[in-house]
Amino acid sequence: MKPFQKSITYLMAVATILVSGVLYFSSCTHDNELLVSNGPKIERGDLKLNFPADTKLTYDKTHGNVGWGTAYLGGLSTLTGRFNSFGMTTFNFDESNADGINFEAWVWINSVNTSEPGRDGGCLQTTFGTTTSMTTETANVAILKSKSVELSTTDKGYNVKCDFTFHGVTKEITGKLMYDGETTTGSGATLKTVYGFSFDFQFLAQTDFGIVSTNIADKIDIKCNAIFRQVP
Amino acid sequence: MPDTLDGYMEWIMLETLFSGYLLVFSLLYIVSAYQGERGFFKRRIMPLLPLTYALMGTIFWGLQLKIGHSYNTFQHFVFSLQYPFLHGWALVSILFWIPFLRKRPILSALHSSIFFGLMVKDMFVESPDKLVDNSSPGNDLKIYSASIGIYVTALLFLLLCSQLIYRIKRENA
Repeated sequence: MKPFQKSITYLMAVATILVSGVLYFSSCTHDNELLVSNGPKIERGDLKLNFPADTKLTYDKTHGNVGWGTAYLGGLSTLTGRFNSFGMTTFNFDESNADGINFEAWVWINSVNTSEPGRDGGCLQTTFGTTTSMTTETANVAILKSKSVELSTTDKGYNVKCDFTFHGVTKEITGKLMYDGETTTGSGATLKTVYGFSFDFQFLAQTDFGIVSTNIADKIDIKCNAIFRQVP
Repeated sequence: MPDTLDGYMEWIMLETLFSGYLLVFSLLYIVSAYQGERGFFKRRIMPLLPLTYALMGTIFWGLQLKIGHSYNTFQHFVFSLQYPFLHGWALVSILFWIPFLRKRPILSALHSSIFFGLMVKDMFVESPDKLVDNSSPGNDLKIYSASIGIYVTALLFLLLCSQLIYRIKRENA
């Protein structure tokens, strides 16, 4: 190899070693970098609703729903149903203030509706300990009453702790309240602002509430939807 | 860095087999330069470097034949390649078995510098723009380190073989 070639080769070798050293050094510094996240950007409005204190605000039971679902025989199928009779005793909502949010709602258990009349009026009544003729008896009323509310840090929802009374037992459950938005209906004298809310939670029917059944799973999913209409 | 999984697999294979050679060559070249013409590295190690590179080229050929065997035709295989030029360039490395090229180690270093340059480019030029986290430089470095390890291992293997051949020849002489 000629002296010139040797020099070039030598320089190339030194450069390669230096570049490799920089590669290793820079990669090591990458390990120490921490990703910083401020979380999702959550913007809440200033909506305030007070039911039934606000006489212009009405609860629209017709377009609301209380649905439930659970696994059948260990997951061979999913049993779903709803309750025909339910209502809202109070509902106070302050969109950006968790302390201003509280509610109480009820369901008549014997109004269970799975679209199978034989089951709704038969084995389900037995399982719930109710009869089809019951109305406001304690055994027939399930009550959901909020205790504390926190603003969710991951979405626009609200984490709500409630006392849930069902089958003669009261236990604390935690659910997620969502304000689903608003729209208007009608015009002129019939103009109304419509607000939508949903509340999802789960409970252990057999473990916590003494339901005895070999058909359904212990965990029950509840999905509630509520609509309020407000005149100007 | 490639955007597809197939492309990334190709890229890993090429960089693993060829990017580490330049650093191994550089280190040994400097050591041999300090030792002088009669040094062990100059006499025994440096002549083996192009052979080590050619060995990697042979392994690459074997891998390509194995992968290409699963395609219906050679054209299908070629069309499936994300980096046909780099594949062709890598396949040429087998030519360092030829004595004319074997006696010019600098050519093998120049050949490998393409892969080394792409590694550097990926770590310093492309990664910051394309990635949402910093895992890519670390991954690149692992590939580069693996490549260096492969070449050191291959070089030791060839050194062992050459010493055995040298001893056998001396005993038979």
